[in-house]
Amino acid sequence: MAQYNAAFPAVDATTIASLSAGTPGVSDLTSSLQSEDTTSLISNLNAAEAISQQTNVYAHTLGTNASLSAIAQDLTEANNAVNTGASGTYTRQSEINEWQAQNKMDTLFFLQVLFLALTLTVVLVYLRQIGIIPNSVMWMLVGFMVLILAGILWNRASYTNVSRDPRYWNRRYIGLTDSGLSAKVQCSNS
Amino acid sequence: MALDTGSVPCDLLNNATSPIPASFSGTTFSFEDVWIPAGTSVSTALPLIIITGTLKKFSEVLTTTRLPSTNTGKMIGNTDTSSKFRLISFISDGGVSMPVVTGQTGTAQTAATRAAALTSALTAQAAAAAAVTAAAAGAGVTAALTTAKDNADAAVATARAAVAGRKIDADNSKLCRILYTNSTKYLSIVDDLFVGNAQITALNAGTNFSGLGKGRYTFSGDTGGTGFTAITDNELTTLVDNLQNAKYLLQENDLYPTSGAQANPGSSSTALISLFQLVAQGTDLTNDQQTSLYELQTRNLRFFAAFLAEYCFYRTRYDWFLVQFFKYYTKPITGTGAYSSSDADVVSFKTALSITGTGTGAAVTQADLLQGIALQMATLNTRMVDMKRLLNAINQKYQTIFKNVQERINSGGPSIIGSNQNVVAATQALSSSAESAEKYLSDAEFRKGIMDYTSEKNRYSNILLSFYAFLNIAALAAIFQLARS
Repeated sequence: MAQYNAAFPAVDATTIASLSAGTPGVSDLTSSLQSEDTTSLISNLNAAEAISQQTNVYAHTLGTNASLSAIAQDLTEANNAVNTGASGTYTRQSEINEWQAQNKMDTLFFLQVLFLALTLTVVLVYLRQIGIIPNSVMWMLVGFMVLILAGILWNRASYTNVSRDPRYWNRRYIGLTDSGLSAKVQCSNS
Repeated sequence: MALDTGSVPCDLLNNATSPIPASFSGTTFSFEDVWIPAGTSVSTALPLIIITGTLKKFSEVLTTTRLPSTNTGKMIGNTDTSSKFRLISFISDGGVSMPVVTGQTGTAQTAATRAAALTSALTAQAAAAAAVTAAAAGAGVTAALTTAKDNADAAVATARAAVAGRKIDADNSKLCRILYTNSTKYLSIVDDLFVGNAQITALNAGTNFSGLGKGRYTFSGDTGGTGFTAITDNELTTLVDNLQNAKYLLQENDLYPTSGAQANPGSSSTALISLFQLVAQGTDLTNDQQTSLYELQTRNLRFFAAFLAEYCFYRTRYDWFLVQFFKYYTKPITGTGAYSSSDADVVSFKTALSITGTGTGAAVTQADLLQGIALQMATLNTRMVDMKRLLNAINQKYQTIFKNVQERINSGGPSIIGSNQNVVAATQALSSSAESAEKYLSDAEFRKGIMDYTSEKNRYSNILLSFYAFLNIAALAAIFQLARS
């Protein structure tokens, strides 16, 4: 390693060629030697600083990537929450509204039948008042209508309470298996 | 890029020639002591460079008594904070800047301190108002107003700094901020890493790491003749490892930890990637985190700046010797301007370089002088070459780190945080969920319409129920009425 014993920096072939072309002056020699050292210093320093800087930049890129990834994951979770949460709420509210409306329509049906029976009762009372029908016939017909009304009331109430699906108005259970009360079904669902 | 390839780096440094110290041992600091300007006279330069054959060391010239930490001298002659060259920008106090820490003026301030500063400001303002009133009286109006205004401005500035916070003193244009120090002295890269049994003192830690312990690189004992053995590449690699361990240079783990608690970016990690991530997420960094981020971002730049300062210390001396060498080389033996051993400068060289004359009466011949100068040039050149080899070793080391980080980004799997695949996977998942969300949004109006329809149906059912309830009551009333009549 001759350079460790050298008083002058090593010069490259181009510099030697340029100096040997004529009779180099002292200033030419001095500037050439200084230039050689400057070039090698800048070359080494810039290379070392640049690669460390690039590493720094890449670390920044890693950090940015990590942030992007975290943001994407957060947005994904938010999207999923919207899809499952809010969507389910809309659907369920519609089901509740529908069930309530149908239940009221069922009640309305009974009220309509009751109104019909009461109207007939008015007619029967009027006919008894003017003597067209005897009292016993009137009470027999009224009793018959009361029986029909009670039957209708019992039928609608028992169907809704026992057989009707509590979520979908138009769906009914057919037996224990369909209602989910069967031990076999419960075991298979667990 | 750190430096402009079209410039001479050492020429950029501040080598102000005034004031020139009376002697090297003086206590007045001058940048001329460090980076000797070209053309400095022999009588001025030699005492700064060499005494009785012993070249001065960088760490000897820069002592804490001569360059205190309060020194405002700038490292480069013309600072340019907007320079496109990173190192120039950094040592101009540009580029990466120290964060502004609220409520601090170098040290933490209490609420009471800030309140006192505000009170002082208000008092000064009141005094200024009083001065204005007094001004009406006549005499000393201008002086009174000026003094009062200055006092008020100073107090307000102090209060503002205390309340709103200010930049911590990290002016990287100051040489004393760039150079490494321990409790007693400025640290030198060559003197503390290459020479003797010197150790690398770890920054911010109590551990020391061994230097190369190369006794032959001590200036005093090196004859520059035979017996040179170059520092091996392995030794330089070890040296770079030690520099990294001692926190002079960034380690891979400082950038992107691969194991341990630091491997998981989060508020507890102090790795660069984690701190960058916190900043990107808009998280307020603590004072310690801000300081860590700044230190990590500037660690290598500071090393290269300190390296440049030290390299130019030797380079300017070498250049000075180079001019002297050719000056005496070209002197004729006889005639006008001929070489003379009795010349005052030659005598100075003989003393400073401890040259043993081989001429008549032990006179220093021209050959003796040239040999003496060449010996010092060889010693200086050896250091300069070693320092450049150290740069090369750093370059090689970072090539490996860079490759590792690059591989993590480009080739890391989806589970590697920060890798491109990790981002792609997250983006794909987002895209997929976005499609579902979009479908949901497009169905939303329809679903809302259904809900409104069922609500309306309920409302009309209520009306009908009420109506039939009324009809039934009316019918019952009719029955009772008929039955009673």
